[in-house]
Amino acid sequence: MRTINLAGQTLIEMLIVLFIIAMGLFATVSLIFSNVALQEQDADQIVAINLAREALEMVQNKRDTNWLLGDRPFDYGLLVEGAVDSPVAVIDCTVVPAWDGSAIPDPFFDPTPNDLSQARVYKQGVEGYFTNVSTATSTEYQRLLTLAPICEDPNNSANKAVAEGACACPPAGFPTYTKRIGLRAQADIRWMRKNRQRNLTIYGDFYDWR
Amino acid sequence: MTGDKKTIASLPGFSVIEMLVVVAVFSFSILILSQTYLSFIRLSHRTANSSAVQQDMRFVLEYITRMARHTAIEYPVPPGSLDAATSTLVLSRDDQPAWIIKLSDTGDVLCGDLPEVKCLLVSSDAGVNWAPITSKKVNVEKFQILVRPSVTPFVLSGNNYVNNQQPFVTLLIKMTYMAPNDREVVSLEAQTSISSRVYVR
Repeated sequence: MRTINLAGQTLIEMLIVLFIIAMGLFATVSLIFSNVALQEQDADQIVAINLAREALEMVQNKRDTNWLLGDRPFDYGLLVEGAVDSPVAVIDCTVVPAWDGSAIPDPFFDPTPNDLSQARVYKQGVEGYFTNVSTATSTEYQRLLTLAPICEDPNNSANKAVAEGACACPPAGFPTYTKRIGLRAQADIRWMRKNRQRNLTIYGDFYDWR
Repeated sequence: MTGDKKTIASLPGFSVIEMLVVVAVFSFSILILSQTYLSFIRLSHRTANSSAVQQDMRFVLEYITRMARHTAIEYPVPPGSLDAATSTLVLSRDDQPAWIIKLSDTGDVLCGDLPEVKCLLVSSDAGVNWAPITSKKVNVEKFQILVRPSVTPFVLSGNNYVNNQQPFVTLLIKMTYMAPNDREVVSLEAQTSISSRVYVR
């Protein structure tokens, strides 16, 4: 009997080849899926950053409106208590815009929410505006504004500090940083995407420098 | 004859069963491969469409934000007032004609070839010439503009200002990429607001 020397691959060779192909395919596929996931995240981020900007613009609008009214401090209805149009009882300096999606909104803020979990964003009315007022369809987003006064040393205007975590500058008589010259507004947005929590924070400083 | 039979039987070949199995396995794997291929194609279309919508959304929001921030809103003479919610924003500039952005009619010639598409049109010469600023296949489903106050706070009506509210513009946009396949259609809805930086009083 004649034995023919058939050319072929050994099992080890085949395994190595399969392994290499599998690695290549896995890399490609995971690249594609991470691309898709990032794209979705990007879309969420566009919505989130615009909601955050809106919150800061509302603070700016409140300050500018206070200036136009002329008879009140710049942060009336934001950090100052006892406002007529906004009964702000400042407890922890966290507020949400109190606009309910109607055509004629008042620029005032609701101090009730204390953290993001109480500050859900809803879609409101026929047009479907995004607002923090809870009477309509809820969205994935939460939005909270945190306000902190910017305080200055009355004897040396070069010394300033943000009184973080406090709703007021230290009372008069303290050595430094007792004069309220502005406020820092921080907008936090939180949302869920595929059971993962995402965050976005921006802040702006608003001074009483007219 | 006997010799012939022997020759045929000893020829190398496949039985019908073997052939059936091979064809079945082969077609099954081709089926799976083509399905995977098609779904990846669809996914890549979806990704491309999504990025087109995102690009338009970013551009439009930033463009309008920038304009509305630094340009005065055109108000009628008090006590005349603006419409509460519209899909047109008119900004008046001191030394140039008014700048206008509006939502087009369905199937406007300027928007491209698709019959069911609305786009955003901009005019920088008070409405004489218009140009689209959204992509051809992006349908602007919603373009809602809310300006408040509705009466200007900067012009006297009689001896008084009608209101003391710094102008504020809210804008809500929803865009959809019009793809022939339903599974490749992508929508995005976003809202932002702008407080005017034009200080007159």
